[in-house]
Amino acid sequence: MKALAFLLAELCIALAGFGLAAFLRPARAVSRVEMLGLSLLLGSGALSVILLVVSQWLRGSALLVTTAALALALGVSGWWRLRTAEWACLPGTRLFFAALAPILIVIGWQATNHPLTADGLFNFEIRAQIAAAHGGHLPHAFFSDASRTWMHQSYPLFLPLHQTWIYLTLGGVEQGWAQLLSLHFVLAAATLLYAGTTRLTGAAWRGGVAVALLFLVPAAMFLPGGATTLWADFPLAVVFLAAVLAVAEFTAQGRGLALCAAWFALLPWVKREGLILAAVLGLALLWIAWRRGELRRAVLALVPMIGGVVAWKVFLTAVQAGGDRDFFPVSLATAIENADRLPIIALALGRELLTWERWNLLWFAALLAFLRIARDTRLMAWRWLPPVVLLPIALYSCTYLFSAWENPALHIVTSLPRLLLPLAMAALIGIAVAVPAWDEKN
Amino acid sequence: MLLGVFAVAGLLRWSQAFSVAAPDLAPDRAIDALARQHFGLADGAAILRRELGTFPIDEPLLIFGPGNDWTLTEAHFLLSYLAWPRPVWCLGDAGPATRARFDHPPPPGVKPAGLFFYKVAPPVELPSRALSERLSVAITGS
Repeated sequence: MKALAFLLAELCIALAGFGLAAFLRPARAVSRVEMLGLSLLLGSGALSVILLVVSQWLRGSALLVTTAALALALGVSGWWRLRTAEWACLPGTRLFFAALAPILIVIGWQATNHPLTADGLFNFEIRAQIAAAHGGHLPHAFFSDASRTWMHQSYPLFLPLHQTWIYLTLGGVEQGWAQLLSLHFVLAAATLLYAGTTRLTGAAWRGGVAVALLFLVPAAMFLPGGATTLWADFPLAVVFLAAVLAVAEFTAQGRGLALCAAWFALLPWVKREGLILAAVLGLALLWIAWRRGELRRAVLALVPMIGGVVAWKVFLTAVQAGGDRDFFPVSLATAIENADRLPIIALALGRELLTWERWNLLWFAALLAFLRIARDTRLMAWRWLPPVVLLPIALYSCTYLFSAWENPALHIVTSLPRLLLPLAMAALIGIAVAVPAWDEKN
Repeated sequence: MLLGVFAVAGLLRWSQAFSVAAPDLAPDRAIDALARQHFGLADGAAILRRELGTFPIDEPLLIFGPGNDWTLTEAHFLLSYLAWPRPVWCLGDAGPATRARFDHPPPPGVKPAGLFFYKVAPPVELPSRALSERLSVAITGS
């Protein structure tokens, strides 16, 4: 019975996402593999926003029914829009799903035999638990509770509201079932990565390489922040992956800005550092659009993100959300005062990138791939990608100049690996597009 | 060649991290696991919910423990998780004139309705009850 309720909850999310994807998709035939990924990821975003808004007025069954009805309405309108649309045929789809199925079983198994811990429990799932106790509404008192500032009350609600939806559908808190959401994001990541890389490079094997590498990066799978642990880092990484693929499509074919706008808006809604990712990727988009003479359209693609960030700030102010104790306010004086941390940060970063137990050979392979992208004229269209990976690493590193932790080195060690996860996703795309073909090599 | 090494290293790490334990879909699995780990409580979520439920929902609670032991943080978070909407504060003992590294002390004037003692013995003059070897509770009735 719970399995059925869980599947229905996921179906609602996918329906809402399908509806959005039908309207936001680029002006081309979309493959069913890509549509699955878009539906899952856009659905998570849509449902979390619907739940946040509707729960301000409705609770319990009324909230459940209204949210499900809205998801259904989105799904039906999407089906209506696509009823005469042609579907693209993606090469290697059967083989892809045949290989993916056993991997998903392993991921699901590992997610259900490792309980939620640390941030996954005390920063994200706890919000869902509290919301579930209040009929799906996260009480405003939560945000201003001085005894709970350690929960980082200003963190966005993408993942907690997704979990809240599962709890609402299952009739109560079900931590075991909630952890199966790992599969939701892994499936979204694999389908988008395969479909996007295959379409953009015209080679299914490159899509396969990208997905295979994803499952071979320990930090992305089973280490803290990885898929099976269900912290917000992996969902953020998947949204960033989708955003990078959308920007790549705009670069290559000049379309897909609506999807870019959706992913940019979603990034800061998943996790706060998503704003840095959206800002860097947004800059890349503006630069590409300027070269294509389409700057005005690209600027418009950033509007939903800015609107979303402002709306969330207004909401946090209205509910008197607790401040952040992890960082000092950004100022030149603080940066200069803490400049002696730079060698510590650089050392920690270098050490982290070389930790094969977490990253396998990802960063080494990414370095080779970026060098090839820089030198090979056939890969010229991807030259915006290395800065999109490297600039956030530099920005993230600089944030530790403002760390308010007594021991900044501990702050770096505990958070830097997770900050790198979305960038690892973009690096995977770089590796897949730059790896030499077998016949090319010989 | 590089992709081959990538594959071998990735599979090696998977084999190290892979757990053959059966899936567990219990509603409180994460809380139960932490309660077992830190408090030595079996079926900890149910026991702690029952204990916390005896306090009025608008009364603050306090957990007291070793201030330089990082597990005090998780013990505090765990009680706070289950005690909602009661405020739960955390006071760490780090010895005389030393600031505790892992605590979240209440502002002045807070009078907790209940005191939890984690890895420290409650004062003998305070009537208390042991929930496990590592956790005791005292009702102050403030």
